Amino acid sequence: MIYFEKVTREYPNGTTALKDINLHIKPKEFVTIVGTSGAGKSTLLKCIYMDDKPTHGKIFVGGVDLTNLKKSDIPYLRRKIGVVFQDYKLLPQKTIYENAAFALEAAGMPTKEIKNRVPKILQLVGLSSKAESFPNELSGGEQQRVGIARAVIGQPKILIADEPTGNLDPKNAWEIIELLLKINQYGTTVVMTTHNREIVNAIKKRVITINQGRVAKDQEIGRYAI
Amino acid sequence: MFFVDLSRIVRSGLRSFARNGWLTVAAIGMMVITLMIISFFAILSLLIAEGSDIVKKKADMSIYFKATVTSEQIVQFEDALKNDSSVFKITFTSSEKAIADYREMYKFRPKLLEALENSGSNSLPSSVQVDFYDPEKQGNIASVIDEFKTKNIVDHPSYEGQKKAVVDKIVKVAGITKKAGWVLASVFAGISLIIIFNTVRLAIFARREEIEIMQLVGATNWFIRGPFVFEGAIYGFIGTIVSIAITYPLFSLSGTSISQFFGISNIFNFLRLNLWSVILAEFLLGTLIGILSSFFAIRKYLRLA
Repeated sequence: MIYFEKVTREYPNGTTALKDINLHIKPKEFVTIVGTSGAGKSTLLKCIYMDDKPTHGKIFVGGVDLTNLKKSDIPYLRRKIGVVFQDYKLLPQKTIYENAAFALEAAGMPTKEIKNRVPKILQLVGLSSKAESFPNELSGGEQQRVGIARAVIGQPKILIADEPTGNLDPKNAWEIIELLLKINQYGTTVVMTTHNREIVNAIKKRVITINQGRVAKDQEIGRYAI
Repeated sequence: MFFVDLSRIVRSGLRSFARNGWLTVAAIGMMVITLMIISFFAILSLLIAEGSDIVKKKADMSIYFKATVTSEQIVQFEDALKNDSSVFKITFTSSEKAIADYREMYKFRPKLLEALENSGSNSLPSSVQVDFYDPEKQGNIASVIDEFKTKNIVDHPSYEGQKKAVVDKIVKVAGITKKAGWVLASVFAGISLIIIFNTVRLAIFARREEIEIMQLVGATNWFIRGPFVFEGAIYGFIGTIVSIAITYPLFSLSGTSISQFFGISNIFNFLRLNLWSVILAEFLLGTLIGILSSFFAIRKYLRLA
């Protein structure tokens, strides 16, 4: 599903965020990426949805070589990948319903289909009653659930979650992780970064440890060890 | 697909227009001021143009006949004038009519009337008044007058020497003022455009994160840009309505004094005749300013990684 071939990302100021990364993430996997702040976790994820670009090496997503992708193709790639952010990144001027619907509208889906899907996805994340609220009227946990709803409403094959629980208390964090696990059970490949030791150790999934831009460890049933 | 996108863009633009609060007000306020400045100077330039035309038309010429002139000679002279293509019309005033006019004009100033009585009964000469299409172009009138002067039929014309110099000067000043009006109007329009562009840029800067988010969830650039551009068009549209609503009553109220100042009886005929084209031009201008400002202001934030 996702291949990294000798991927290196250097910044003009000399920092090397990623160094010779080789990775293969298989379909329907649930992968957790751990590492200290600045280890290169976010850069790695950003390279998958083309918010960043490797200076060397190749990345394949769903069989597509991202090196050859034109700028104008990026929106179409992103419609196939759902992304959840630590700071939620909801559109502040749009209601919860509109936020969830936006990705589908942007993808040109017929209105009828959108009206059918949005209530279902809001029900899945348990926010049916908040459909007409605005993001700033919601708690952090609720906002992140909207973020997840938006990310999966297009039924992507891949879900990227960059520290989805970073701003949440343990109870809310667990609710988010359970949602992600549920989505993974439905068949979506999930790639998540986190600093939460307790969660990593509890879910018993594949763990990739990144240290100074390199893959330090890659274990099928991993533990949080930095 | 295209129309679905279009209707989504329009709806999204309307919604964010309604939800944007004070930024909306600020942008529309700027638009109103811009359009008012532009229409103020445009109308001023039109007034100056009209006014100077009227001054020009008033620059007629009176040629006085000698007391000994015969009616054949008068007809002869008038025909000679009419043959010149620069002459718009000629008006004959007989000696008797001139005296009657003089009496009428000075009926409350007995001393001036007395002066006329004392100078003998027929001391005002008959005359012919010449109006030109353009007082600056007088064809061969001067040579015609010279010819009849030597024949001892007419005297010096009134439009000569000092009077001509004054009229020429007025016409010249009006020409310069007109040009200056347009220059000022363009300068102010330019300044206002920059200000409004910056207002819209600020509005978009405040929402740059929104643009980034839209990109991250797979919206194409024109799908993101569409609502912003449409919002800009609404700013322009509403700005135009407000500026017209302020400008026109203002001009109507001060209309009579403006007319008197410029010596124009019917400038509002002019404005009224052109009302719809003026309003249409303002709508186009306002909407275009809104669209272009948003279009260029958002460009910066649409660059993908």
